[in-house]
Amino acid sequence: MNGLLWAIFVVIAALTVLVGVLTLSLSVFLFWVDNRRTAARKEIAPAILARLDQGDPEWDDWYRELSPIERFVAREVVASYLRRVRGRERAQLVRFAEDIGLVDHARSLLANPLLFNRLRGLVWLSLLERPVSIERLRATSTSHPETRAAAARLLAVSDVPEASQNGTALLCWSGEDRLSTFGLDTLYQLNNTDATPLLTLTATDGVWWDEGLLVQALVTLGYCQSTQELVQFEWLLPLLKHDSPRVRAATLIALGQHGWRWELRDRIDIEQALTDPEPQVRTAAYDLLSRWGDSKSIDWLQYGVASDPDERSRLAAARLLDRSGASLPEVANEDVVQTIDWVRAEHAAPRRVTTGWT
Amino acid sequence: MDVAIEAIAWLISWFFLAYFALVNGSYLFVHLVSIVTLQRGVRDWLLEPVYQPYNSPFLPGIAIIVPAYNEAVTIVDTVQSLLNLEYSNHEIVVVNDGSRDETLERLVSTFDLEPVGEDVPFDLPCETVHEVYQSSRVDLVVIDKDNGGKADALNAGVFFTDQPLFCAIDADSIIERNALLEVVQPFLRNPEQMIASGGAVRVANGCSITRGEITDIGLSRSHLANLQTVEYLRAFLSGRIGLSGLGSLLIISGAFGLFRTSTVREVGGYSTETITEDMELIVRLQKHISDEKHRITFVPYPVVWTEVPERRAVLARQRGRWFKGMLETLWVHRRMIGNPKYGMVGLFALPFFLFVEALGPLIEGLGYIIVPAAFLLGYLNVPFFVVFLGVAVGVGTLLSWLSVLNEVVSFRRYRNPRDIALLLLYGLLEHVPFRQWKSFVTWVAFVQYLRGETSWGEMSRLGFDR
Repeated sequence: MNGLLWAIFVVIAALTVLVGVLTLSLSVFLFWVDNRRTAARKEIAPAILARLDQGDPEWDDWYRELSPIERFVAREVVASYLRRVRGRERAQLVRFAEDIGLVDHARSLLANPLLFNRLRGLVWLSLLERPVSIERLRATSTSHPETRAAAARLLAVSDVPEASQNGTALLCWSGEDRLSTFGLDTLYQLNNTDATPLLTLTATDGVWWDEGLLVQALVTLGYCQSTQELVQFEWLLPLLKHDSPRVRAATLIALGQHGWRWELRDRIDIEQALTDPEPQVRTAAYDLLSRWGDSKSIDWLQYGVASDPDERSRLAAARLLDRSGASLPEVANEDVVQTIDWVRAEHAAPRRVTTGWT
Repeated sequence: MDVAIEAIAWLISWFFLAYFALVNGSYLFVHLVSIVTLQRGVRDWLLEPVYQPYNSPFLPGIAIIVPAYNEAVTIVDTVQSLLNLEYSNHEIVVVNDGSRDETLERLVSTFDLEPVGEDVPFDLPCETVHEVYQSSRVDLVVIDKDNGGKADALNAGVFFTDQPLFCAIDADSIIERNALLEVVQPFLRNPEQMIASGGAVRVANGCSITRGEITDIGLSRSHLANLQTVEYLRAFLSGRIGLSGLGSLLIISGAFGLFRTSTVREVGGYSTETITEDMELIVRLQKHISDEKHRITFVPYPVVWTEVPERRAVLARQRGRWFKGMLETLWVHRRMIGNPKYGMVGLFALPFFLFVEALGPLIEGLGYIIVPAAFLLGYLNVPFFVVFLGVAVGVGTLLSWLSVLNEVVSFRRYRNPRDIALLLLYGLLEHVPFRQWKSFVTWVAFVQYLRGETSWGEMSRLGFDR
């Protein structure tokens, strides 16, 4: 028994000493590496910037002469600059990346079995804006929501035909996985100037989607532009009677952006939206009316300020009305008066009303 | 007779040894989970997506809520550092909780605040609000209200803001410039699921601070502060990461946590009935979301720096308050303990907090007296006592050193090997004699709790620019 006790003590002591020695040794080694990297960064970053101005920077020769730490720093600096610079300097950086084999390496990573490496490949290709065929993206990136979003981003930044359609389809691939903010932003970038791909896909498949994804698609539509005919929007109208208040609110957000078509406006039942039992739906309706901004919408907003039973929705309506430059209604109700007085007083420092972020 | 006493001494000593093994074994298990979780975190951190979240219309607005009670020494620095944060959609809501010093006056004069002059047009579940001040040049609002305690002040901000997320931070803390963008990452990855995310809290004592920003990271001249530095590393870089990986997070520090505003309002905001409102809120949120696919998580990269007590009396009061708050929260939510309805929280997290965090220091305290006494009286042999020291001190030190290893490998805020060597030394001292002193403080707090004494006690601040 005593032998066992001594053995336990020796194991604990040995483990502790081992961890202590390892920690200290690693700290010394990493401190040395950090110092080398810091010193290298001071030389490499200006060297890269200087070469960006040269007609033929001879990247390959220059890179080959660097030490492994300097090469690491060079790649790090390039990745950082690629996120920030545009135009000719960016083209030079891309050429540098091509010369040192980064593009080929990134493409080869797409076939890697590890998710981490596939994502690394997609991130590099997006930074370098180097397109990959949709067939290859489908073959390598559809198994996981993160790779789908990264592949859609690659399409969004690449100059390839049907990028919006293919990217939108990749993002909404399963109809079940809700998007990250990165995915949402990519969906927006793909449909920003012409929402046809998202409109078409949501019209045909949206009814089968997970409710959260449907809400995300509708909110994104609220930021995108479209010149499509009224018929492309008709599928939105029944969603105003959807069981879920989140879907009803998101539909109003989408319609708010596309209501410049008078024939579409006329088919939206504003009274129904303003008498919706859920405050979030009414708040979205006020946002829609404020975007439209015509005299009829202002009348409805004034009605909302005077009649909304929820103090926060009422405040949202009053703020939007005040911001639109219209007069706030004169009413006797004490609660409404309090809301109006507050909005008038806080006018000096209006704060953002956030609707639509799920 | 002697044989009987010896048998009892052995029995009791084995009990203590087993309990120490349970406590430190549990911590070791959580630490091992933290290593796995950290791998995933590092992966997410390395794979920065190719987009500019600042320019995205989907970046959620965040209200930073700062409850302030007699914080005149630090409040201007704190607000200044918050205004400098790298985040494009945030507002700062300072809640002056009936301060008796010049907290409000300094804010009003420094930031040219103007009173709104009207009553807030919706209910704020807090003590009477006297005035709301706004700035016309920066995103800053100050709510001036009667004193109601920290939870009450936080509720004023939570129910006042329009932002979908809010970040609660302490007025005596300094948040790193990119911390808000880091702590919001879980929400950006899972906008539909995430309910709360917490960042790491580190010790500011010994660091150089200029105009509300940490400019040089180092250790303090105070041994007590440095012991807490190691403690915080262990708590945040091992405990919180591991518990978060197990879906068992019960604490997001009141000094730095990000929450979905609507969910916190749904559960009624912070409880004003408990001493440690931060832990109680998380347990209540865990209870609220237990049957849904929502998540509460911890992210170690965003950091807030806080000033820790350098005097034993002040530290003892702080630790006593934390312990009493934990007991109170466990008591309030006792029906969740061991209840499978609450998943990992009911079956692992709450029993862990009860047997390891709450009862652990109390039983340890007795063990530190009884086992050495039995050894000195000759009832225990040398091998047993050595193993007791190995389990109590050795494994404890191993845990602290593993946390320092996590720091060296993953976070590297402390880069200088000299600092790391000192942290290892303090990692040993944390278990002899600091841990024994904490057991004593815990016993005092336990007695106070049984007597119904749940006061906060005064926390004196020295201020950062000293």
